[in-house]
Order: sequence, then C-alpha cells, then structure tokens
Amino acid sequence: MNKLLHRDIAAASGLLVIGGYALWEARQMSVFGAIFPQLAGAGMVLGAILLLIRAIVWAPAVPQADGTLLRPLLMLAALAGWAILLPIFGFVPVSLVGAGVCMLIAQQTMVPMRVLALQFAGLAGLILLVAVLFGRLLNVPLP
Amino acid sequence: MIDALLSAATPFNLMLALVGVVLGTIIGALPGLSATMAVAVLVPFTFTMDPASGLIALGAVYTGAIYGGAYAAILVNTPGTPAAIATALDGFPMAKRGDGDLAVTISCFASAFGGIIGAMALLIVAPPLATIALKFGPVEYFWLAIFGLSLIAVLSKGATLKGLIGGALGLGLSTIGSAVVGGDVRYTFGNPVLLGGIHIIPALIGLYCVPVLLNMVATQDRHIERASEGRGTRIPEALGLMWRSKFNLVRSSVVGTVVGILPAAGGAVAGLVAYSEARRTSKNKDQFGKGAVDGVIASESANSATVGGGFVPTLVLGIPGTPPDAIILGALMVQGIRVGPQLFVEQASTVYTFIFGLLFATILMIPVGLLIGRTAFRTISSIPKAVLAPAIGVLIMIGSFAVEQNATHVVMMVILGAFAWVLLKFGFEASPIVLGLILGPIAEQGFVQGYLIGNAAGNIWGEFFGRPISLAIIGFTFLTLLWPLWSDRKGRAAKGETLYE
Repeated sequence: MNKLLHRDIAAASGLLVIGGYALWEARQMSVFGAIFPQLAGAGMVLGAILLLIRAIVWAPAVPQADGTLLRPLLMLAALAGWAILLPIFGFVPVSLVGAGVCMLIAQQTMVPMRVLALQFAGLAGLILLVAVLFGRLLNVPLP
Repeated sequence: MIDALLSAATPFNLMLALVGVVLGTIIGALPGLSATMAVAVLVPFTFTMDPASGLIALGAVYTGAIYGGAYAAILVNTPGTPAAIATALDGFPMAKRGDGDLAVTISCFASAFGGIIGAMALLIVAPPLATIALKFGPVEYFWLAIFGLSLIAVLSKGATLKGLIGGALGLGLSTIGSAVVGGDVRYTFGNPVLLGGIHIIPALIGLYCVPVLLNMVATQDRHIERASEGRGTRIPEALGLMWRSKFNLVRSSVVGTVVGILPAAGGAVAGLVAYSEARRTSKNKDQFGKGAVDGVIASESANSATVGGGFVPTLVLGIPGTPPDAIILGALMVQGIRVGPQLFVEQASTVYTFIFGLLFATILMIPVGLLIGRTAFRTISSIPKAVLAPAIGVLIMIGSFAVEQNATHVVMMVILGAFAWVLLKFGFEASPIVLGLILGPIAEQGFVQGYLIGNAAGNIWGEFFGRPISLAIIGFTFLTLLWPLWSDRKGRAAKGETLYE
C-alpha cells in the first residue's frame, strides 16, 4: 500500500497528463512543426511510465523537505498578487505593499516594531532606488 | 600596434574602460538585466566619442556584464545573465557551505583569465578563426545543441531519470509559441501573449530564483553561511586553487573563445560545454554540483572568453557572434566603420586600439570585481531573511518586467517559479529544464533546416553524419555520456571488485 502512495506516483501522473496533452495537440501541427513537440511529449510520457514502474517496484527512498509549507505558500500567493497588480496600480505602490507583505511572511521570530519599521524603510529605499535606476537612467517605462 | 597600445592607454580611454566595467558588473549582477541590455542602453552615449573610445566603452560594459552575472548565481542561485547558468551549479553550493567569498574571488580571476584569452585570440588570430564560423551550418548547430543536452545526464547523477524528464519538460516549454521553422502556432491556448514563446530571462528568474525565495522562508537557517571571522577576499587561496586547475582554466577559456565565435551560441552554451568537459576530465566528478571549484572556474572562464571570441566574426565577417555583438556592430555602422576582412588593414588603428582597450578593461575587472564581489557577499550574507526575501522579490519583479517592458512576463515568471518549486518537492532540479528550454530552439531549427538541405541534396544521412565537424561533435557527445561509466568501471576494476553486467 505504501508503494502506491509513493511521492513519485503523483509526479508521474502529472507528467503523463502533460505529456499526453503535448502529444494530442501535436497531431494538428505540420510535419516539421510537430517533430520536437512529439519528441518532448514522448519523452515525458516514457519518463513518467518508467517513474511509475520504479516507484511501484522499488519505491526509492524520498528525502524529506526542510521547514514548513505554510510560509512558502503564503509567499507564493504574495508574489502572484504582486505580479497581477503590478500593471494595474504601478510599480512603486504595488512593490511597497508586496515587499511589506513578503517581509512579514519572512519574519521567523517576533521583532520590535522599531526594527520592523527600519527594515521596511530600507526596503522602501531599495524600491525607490530601483524605480529611479530603471525608470530614469535606463529609460524602462515602468507601469 | 605600439601606437594602438598607447592610444588605448590614454587616461580618457582607461577611465572609459573602468566606468564601463563598473556599470556592466552592476547591471549584469541584477537578475533580468542582461549584457545585451547593458550594452544597448549605453550605446547612445558613445555616438559623440571617437570610434575607438566608443568601442572600448561598449566592450568594457559587455565584459563587466558577463562577469557580473556570477554574483547573483553564486550568492542567490539566480544567474544574473544566461551566461552564468553553469556558475550557479557549483557557485551556490559553495556559498551555502560558507565559501561564497572564495567562489566570488575565483569567478573574478577566472573571468579575467578567460577574457584575456578571448581578447588575445581576437588580437592575434582573428581572420583565420573567423572562418570556423562559416563552416558551421544548421546541422552543426543541431549537434552542438544535442551535445549541450547530453549534459543533462552529467548534471543529474543519481537522479538521471528525473533529469531526462526535466530535459523533456524544458524541450516542451521551448516549443510554446510560433515554430522557429514553418510558423506553426503551438500550445498557446489561443492566448496571443504566448505567440512569442517563453522568454528566457523571466524563465531563468522563475525557475531558479522563485524556488530559492520560497525555500528561504520555510526555515530559520541562514540563506548562505559565513565564517564568523573575516576571511577577506581569500586571494592566495583562490590563486592556489586556480593554479591546481590550470588545465581546466586554459581549456575552458579556449572552449569559450571557440563557442563565442559561433553566431548565436553565446555564453550560456560556452559555460555549459566547458562545465561538461571540466566534469568529464575531473578526478573528483562526485563533487560537481556540490560546490566544486573546477565547475566555477570552467563556467566563468568560458563565458568571459566568449566576449573576445564573439568579436572575431563580428569584426572580420560582419556576423555578430552574440546579441551584444549585434548591438556593437550597429554602433560601428553608425560611426561609419565598415566591418569585413579588410577592417584589420583599413581601420587598423581603431581596431587594435579597441582590442587593447578590451584587454585593459578585462584587467581592470580584477580590482573592480574583487571590491564589488566582497561587498555583495558581505551584504547578502549579513542581512536578515526578512529583508533579503522581499528585496529579491523587488529585483525579480523588475527584472522580469524590464526585459521587454511586458507585465505578462512577470506573471509567467511567477507561474514558472511555482511550477519549478513543486517539481523540486518531487526531486526534479531546474537545470535540466533550463537546458531543454535554451537548447531546444537551437536543436529544432538546426534539425529542420538540416533535414530540408539534406532532402534537397538527396542525402539526408550524409548531411547529418557525413560532415567532419558534426562527426567530431557527435564523438564528444558520446564521450561525455560514456566517459563517467567507463571511468567508474575502470575505478572498480582497479580496486579489484567483481564486475557484473
């Protein structure tokens, strides 16, 4: 039963879906346009099947990941929100909020408010510096 | 030539070289700002200068930017430029174990050495070397990409199956958008944003940097270790290690120069090929990927050597070896200089002044690199994660956006980063995916064009397997794949172990 719950089974199932989709879509492409998509899709499907067999037959040891899952997931959500809101509200305001949220997520221990304020001030300085460097000196039209 | 040397050594030209190297190093160190962008941004400033000075400034920026990519690769595990991909493989593990200062110093010296070899090749043997570029057809590029992809097997020792699956995933990602030949629209889900495919810079940032950022907040451990006592830049130790790795240093620099000569191959391919060769010939193969000094030396010397190498076809044939070379070629045309085989005769003074200026810029990179490198290491190793994580967040957002001023790239970067993080949880590394993503289009274009040429000539097999350069690359590919097996077998046989098939 443990072998059927092996971590690689989930990975192989996902790869089978992706590889299968790649092969399915490649049917509609021209002969030359389909060569590499088919190669990639076949590689994923074949690899996934081998991974499945290995997981069921040998069940190789799985290294355990360090740390918690909650903070990385929160950080990912913060980055996703940051990326989506960037073109809507502009680089500086969204980055100030995004960096502030990421700073709070990354705090592993309780720190005095004064330290928090100092850290945020440093980040705000970095954001302004980046905005000036890219927006003014490098002429990148920031959102 | 003495006149050119003296002309390059004027205080104004030396100042341009110094400023160019400093600016290039800083720009290259920021993920998302490539050497191409560094050169492109500074081109207009050179229009009012005399041609040789303008070229020196641009060459210095280019040199600095290629080297600067190593900082982010070593200290944050995010290649600042694509050329530094192979540097991250061993540079970041060195930083994790507390040798980040040593890795930064070694990368500086190796870059300077590679840069000097590339510039010397440009100075001494540019015209004959340029003919190599003309001998490379689509099939040779196809085999070169396959050679690069064979590195997946080398990189993923102990997890070869997952490495190969990662390569297939990268290859699949590289097919998104319009096909390089034929114009098929592939895997875009009807979204016009995906027509242009996945841009390499946001992909690099997402695949390498986002997982680092997410894992950074998962634990209370330090991001990178740092010795409690100050060990400075560890110059004698770095030089000693480089002396022990002198053959690797020279070979990687030559590899970088030759790959730099090949149009469109670039620093990323050069670094990976040199890394593969360094690993293949090393007595300590097991250390590669875990913080091997030889890996950093190979990658950094090779990618810096592409600067001089890339100028060979640019100046002699008018074929830019790398994207920054294409921009510099444009700047030359604006200055009224006609490139071509006669350039070294008709414009000898300008060309040789530029080459000597490039040499001076490379030498100036040593103090500049050591100073900036030490500061970067001390800063990144001392600031708390609660500040470092959002600071990296700011840089990856602006870096992904700035490439093409496209907010969609930022979203794509986060999606790819989340994808890479999930894959990492299942034991898949980012490097094979990146290799597939970078080399996929080169392989596809080479294969389809080679097939069409072979078909038109009525000899497809001969086109792919009958050309001497192709055969040499195929031989190296097999050597790369089979050498580890052969050396393991030889090692076990030497220990008197029984061999089983």
